Amino acid sequence: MDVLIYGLVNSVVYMLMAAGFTLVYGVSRLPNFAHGALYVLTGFLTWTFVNSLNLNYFLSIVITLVIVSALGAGLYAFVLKRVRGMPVSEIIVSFAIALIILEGLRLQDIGGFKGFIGSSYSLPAFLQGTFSIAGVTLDYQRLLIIVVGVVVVVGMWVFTRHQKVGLAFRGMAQDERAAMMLGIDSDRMAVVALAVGSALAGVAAVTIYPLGQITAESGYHVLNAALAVCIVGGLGSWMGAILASFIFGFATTAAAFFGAPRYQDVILFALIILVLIVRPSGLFGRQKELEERV
Amino acid sequence: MRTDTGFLRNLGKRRGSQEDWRRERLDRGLKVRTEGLYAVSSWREILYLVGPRALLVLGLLLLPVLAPNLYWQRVLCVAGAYALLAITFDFLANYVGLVCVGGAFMTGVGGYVSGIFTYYLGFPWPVSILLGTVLGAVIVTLLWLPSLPLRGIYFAILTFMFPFLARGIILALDAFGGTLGLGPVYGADNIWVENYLVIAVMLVAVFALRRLVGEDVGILFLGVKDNDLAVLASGISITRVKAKGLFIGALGGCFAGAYIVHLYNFMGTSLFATDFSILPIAATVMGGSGTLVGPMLGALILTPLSELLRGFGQLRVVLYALVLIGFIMFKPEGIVNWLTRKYHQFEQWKKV
Amino acid sequence: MRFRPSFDSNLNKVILIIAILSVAVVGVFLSGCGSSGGGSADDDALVIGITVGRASIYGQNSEYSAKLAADEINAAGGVDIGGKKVPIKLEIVDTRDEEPGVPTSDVLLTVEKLLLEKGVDAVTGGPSMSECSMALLDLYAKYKVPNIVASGTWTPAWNKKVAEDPEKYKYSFRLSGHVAYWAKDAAALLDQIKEEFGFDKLYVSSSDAAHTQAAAGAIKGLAAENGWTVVGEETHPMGSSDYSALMTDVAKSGAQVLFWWDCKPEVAIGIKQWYDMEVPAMLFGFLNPLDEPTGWDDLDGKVVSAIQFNGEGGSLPGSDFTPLTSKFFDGFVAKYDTEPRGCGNVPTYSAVYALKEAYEKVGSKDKEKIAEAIAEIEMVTAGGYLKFGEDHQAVYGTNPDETLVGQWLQWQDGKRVCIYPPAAATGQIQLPPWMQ
Repeated sequence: MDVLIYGLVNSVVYMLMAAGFTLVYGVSRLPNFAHGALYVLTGFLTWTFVNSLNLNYFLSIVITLVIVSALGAGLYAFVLKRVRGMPVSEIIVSFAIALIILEGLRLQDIGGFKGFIGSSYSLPAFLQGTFSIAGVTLDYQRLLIIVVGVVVVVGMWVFTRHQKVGLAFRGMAQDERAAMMLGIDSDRMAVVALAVGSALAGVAAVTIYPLGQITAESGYHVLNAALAVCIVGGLGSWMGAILASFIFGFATTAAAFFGAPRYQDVILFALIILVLIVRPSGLFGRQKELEERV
Repeated sequence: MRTDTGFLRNLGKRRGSQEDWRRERLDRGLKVRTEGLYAVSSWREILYLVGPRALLVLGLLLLPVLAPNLYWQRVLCVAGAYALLAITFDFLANYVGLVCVGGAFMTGVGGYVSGIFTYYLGFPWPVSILLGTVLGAVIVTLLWLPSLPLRGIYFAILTFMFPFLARGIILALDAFGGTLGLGPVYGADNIWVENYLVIAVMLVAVFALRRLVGEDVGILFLGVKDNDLAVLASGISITRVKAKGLFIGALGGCFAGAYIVHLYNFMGTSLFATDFSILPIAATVMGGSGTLVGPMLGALILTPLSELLRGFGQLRVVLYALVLIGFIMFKPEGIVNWLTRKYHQFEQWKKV
Repeated sequence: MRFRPSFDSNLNKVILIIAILSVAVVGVFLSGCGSSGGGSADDDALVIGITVGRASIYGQNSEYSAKLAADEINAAGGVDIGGKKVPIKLEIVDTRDEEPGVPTSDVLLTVEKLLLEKGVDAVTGGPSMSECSMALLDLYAKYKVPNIVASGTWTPAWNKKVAEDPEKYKYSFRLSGHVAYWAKDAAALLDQIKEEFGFDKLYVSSSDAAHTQAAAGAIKGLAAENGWTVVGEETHPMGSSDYSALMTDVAKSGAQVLFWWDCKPEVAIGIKQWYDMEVPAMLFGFLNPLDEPTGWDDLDGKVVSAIQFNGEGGSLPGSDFTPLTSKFFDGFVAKYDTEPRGCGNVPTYSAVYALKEAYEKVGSKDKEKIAEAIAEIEMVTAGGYLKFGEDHQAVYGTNPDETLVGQWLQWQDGKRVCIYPPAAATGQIQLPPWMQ
């Protein structure tokens, strides 16, 4: 029973982390390696607003999400647009930006800027307290994570089916050329996609960070998690990402509960490598076999 | 969607005139005259061809002598190791079509294998380094064999994860010294030997790989990189070709690892550090991808630069990343490609 | 088609560019000259190198304390070497040793640069990564520079290696402690808990790093000897972000004390879970978030009653076990406006003072004599009574009048209270609120 509940929570955590990355890749085929950096940036910005400027918590979150979305959009408009179409360059450039952000946050004593080092940065939980369900103690924040996860998935589903911009996303994801023929501007869509993707990263950050602490290093961890989920699930596929995050969530939780927690990481990598060898396009990947495998 | 900024830059008005001009590039007469047999027709032609290469070789050979003190000679050693990794990355990415973002795995495997020979079995260091290079390359090729059929970014992501996996396994099993590493691993204690060893290997790597690409084997590599289906249609096993290419490339990476272990008389899990994966990429982008010399020069510039910026802490990484982005966005061809173009061609404006 | 092939001048231009580039590459090397030598104005100053990873907390701790000590000494006139008072000049270099992407060879290169270019007389500070310090032993032996490791590097393998070849490694000393000492302390503290509360069931958890596992293993053995039953144990990957399995397991096992030794900030998640789930076991061990002076606020007070190893002693509020301890604490707070964390602070502070003592005793900068003088040092420091053993390891124990001490704290009412060793304790051990 513990495994079920905590497995569920961990799966939703993985899914939230991967949501933004999947969206951006699905719509514009851009591997946004700055995803983790945007996640961490949200955390630190919110912390700064709350602690140094003493703003209201929710107001801080809203402001931060807006800033991060703008940053994501700017990232595309000024940088990624120029390297679009060359996958390796995209990876390198977005990773370089991630490095700038993550390492920049740890700068010490440059022009009076004191970096964020140490274990003293955390966001307060929205709801304190715990409750018991089926004999398992769960705290409200984790419950909130599950709720937020569901809201995000449902929200995205509704968005891509009933909203004009969302429908355009789906069109772009299915067939870029055809979408362009119908008058959908690829670049503008990419900007919006990146903005939404960054906002999703931010939402994930504000929901998950209250569980623990904000550190710059978690950026790399989030990126790895998003990559893992997207590769196993199939780059660009929402269903695949959801399924993959559940697989990872339950696999790692089961490993932890059934006495083999040391092997969590090994399981993760083994799964990824297995999928890459047997079915590179992932579980629900859209790419044809011949295209990615010779 | 790629915006062809080059095209846009070359089109347009020229210096206030009313007509449209375009930029035209032509090979220099000298270059044309140096093709074929005419290359030896006069000293001018010979110098034109030999000049840059001689400059390169002489320059490299003189570097250890010009280094102001022992510390900078050490930096040169480390820069040389990074240069080899950069050459490896360039070769694999642009001549075999395998984008390997996990250079650290090669360093780690080469380092540990050669370290084991010296530390546990007491072999003399030249033998260990040699064994580490060859055996390490074999191990790397075997481990990455299953992923060779994959294309594009899948291979890149897989290779990126391998160093972390290897490090995790070594730590979890507490093998080969675990977190603490093992030492001392005795190498050559003479800085001149260390300097010239790495320089010699660098020169051999660059010239040999260039030659290789011109041979049959090399043409196969390029063919696989450009259009693997066509090669497949000719009845040649692509996986084997790629494996061969990977093995040759991995030789360079594993040597770098073996060299570092014996340079610092120490082997530990830090051989899998991401620095070894990322700096070669930055060096390649900056130096010029596709020319094996470019990445080498890029590494020789970036490593000392990194040392100079040591006082600034994390700013160093931020600057790296900025340089990387700057080059990719504005000068993706890199320094050496740009230089080559300028050397071989001249430009002029022509009326449309 | 009109064109002028002025290729000669163009070619010359290109050759010029190539030449400039080559000169640039060489110039980058040569510019190293600029930072070496330089002819400092105070050539007599005592130059002490401080090797720390500036972006890590242990490095920061060490750097701050070193600066504090140097400022204090200089304000009092400096170090008296052979009748002349000279100031201390700190050369702080960033070894970047705690960062995930940095190889040990990088650290070695940094230290080598320090030794070759800055003309340091002695070195102290880090690095805190044991792997790097082990590798540095051979480097220091080669360059024959007195050095005192005073932040981190808690592996017992260090002094074992020095003991194997004391003549070769005679310049290297360690003022920070090692896990064997801390494990002994932990066992003694467990005994105290056993006596006060009658507990005897222990759960042992650690991350999968070698040193944390070694600590867990040591504690398991010692506790079992003293009558504790180990009712459960587990190891989890470093930086794990979910500890629900661990907490549930602890609750089910009937353990009364959870011993947890870790090395990553993600454990904050586990600490909060421990509190939220009201796990009926005392939290006891080494967890980074508990070390922060602001830990109570950071974790919404969910650290109450958690017992944390605070590193080498001297940085807890109210500590008074030597006359110099509160001087250090107050000085630190006055200078940096924040209370000190645990590890690496006091040892580096003491190391700088120890170096002063050695230089004043010898009266010159002769490196070999200094090394010998350090080996024979016996002095009162902010962390206790300092003396080095045959293996150049500073001796730790429980009596601050005879040895240095490690301190253990418990979070009570928003503050860090020292509860061990008894000679330094300022408060009683308390149970978690839900166990009272």
